[in-house]
Amino acid sequence: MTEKEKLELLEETFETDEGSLNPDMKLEEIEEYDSMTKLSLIVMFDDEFGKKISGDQIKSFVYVKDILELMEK
Amino acid sequence: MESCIRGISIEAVSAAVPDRWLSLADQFGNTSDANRKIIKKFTKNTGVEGRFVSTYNQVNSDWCYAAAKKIIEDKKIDKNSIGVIVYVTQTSDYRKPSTATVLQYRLGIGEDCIAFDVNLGCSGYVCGLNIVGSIMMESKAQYGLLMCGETASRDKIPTDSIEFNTGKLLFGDAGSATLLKKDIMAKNINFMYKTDGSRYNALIAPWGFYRNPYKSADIDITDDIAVFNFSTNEVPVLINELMGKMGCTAEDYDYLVLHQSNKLIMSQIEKKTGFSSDKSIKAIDKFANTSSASIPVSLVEKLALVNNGVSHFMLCGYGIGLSWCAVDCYMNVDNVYPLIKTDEYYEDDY
Repeated sequence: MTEKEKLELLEETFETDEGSLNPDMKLEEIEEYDSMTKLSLIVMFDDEFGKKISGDQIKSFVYVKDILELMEK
Repeated sequence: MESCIRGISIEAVSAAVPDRWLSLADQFGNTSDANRKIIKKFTKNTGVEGRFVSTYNQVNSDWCYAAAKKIIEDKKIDKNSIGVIVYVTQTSDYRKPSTATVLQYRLGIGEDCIAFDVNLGCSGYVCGLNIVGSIMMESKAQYGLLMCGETASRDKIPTDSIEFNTGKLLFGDAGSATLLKKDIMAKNINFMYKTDGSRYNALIAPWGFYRNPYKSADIDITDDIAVFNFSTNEVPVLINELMGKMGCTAEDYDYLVLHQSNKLIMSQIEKKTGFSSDKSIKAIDKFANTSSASIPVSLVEKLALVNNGVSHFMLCGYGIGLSWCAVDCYMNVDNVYPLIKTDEYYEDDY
């Protein structure tokens, strides 16, 4: 999956506009990154990559790129 | 752990709610654009569009009472033949005694019975079936009555500020009654259940009781992600284990009824257990999460008008404890009563 594809998938998960996310953005500054989005993120990782994401991992995410890095099968 | 109840059937299911239904949009969404957006997203993810909310005087035992009364009257049950009364709730009427004994009195059930409360939440309906069935199997009781539910909205109605924890919008009021009957022809009821108390603090209201008495009792603490991961990973494993033990797959069941926790969780469980979405009965849109009442409420909402006769069910409750319990059972859906709406309540002397 290319970085562009990953970003698109993430934008879909965040329910934010296409092209609105970039890897260096701070997650805490993204309005859509709330408690519900975090649950959608867990579902996305499970469905698309077969990965279980823990609460500690979610807490460790600071930038968008921290999530992108894990988006591998 | 597993158990098998023999010679007992699930004879009737009934549920009652307060007379007042409030949509989230009307209640909270129309005050500003920001609120509207929050509510819209909340509804999309959780499936909750609104919920039944009690008036101040009414509590869960009032809905359970109405639901039980309906079954007893309609089936003309001899009140002296109900030998087991279990009331599952985390919002009992009094600190003491058990509300089950008050319900015995209100329903006019005779003295020849055991009656007690069980403090379980979202796993409570299935655990309760297990408890009532197990006691009946070893006693002379002809009937057993399981009542479940919460006065969930009471402390959780957020103030006008939208700075609320959206988790509080997730809960609605409802009570239920299920009658179990001795029946030598009944098919076995097979349970599989687990408890993990090491995660007791994943969902907890720690204050205002004996250990921590001096802080507000109204605050619930929820570790959303821990509960979500538990529900979507460990719950399907239990259901799959039970199906494996029964030599069944999702195809062999007429209905799956999950505790109505939230839509996102339920669809993940369906996916991981092989149940198609249309076999999975859902009523969270109208009732929100009603804790231990959610399974009977969903049966009532979706099957009261269906006349399919005896159907094969997989039911699964999961949540606070942590506690999770699944059951493979048969039920005659013709004995599922339509939803009761009531604003009646019990007036005690206090």
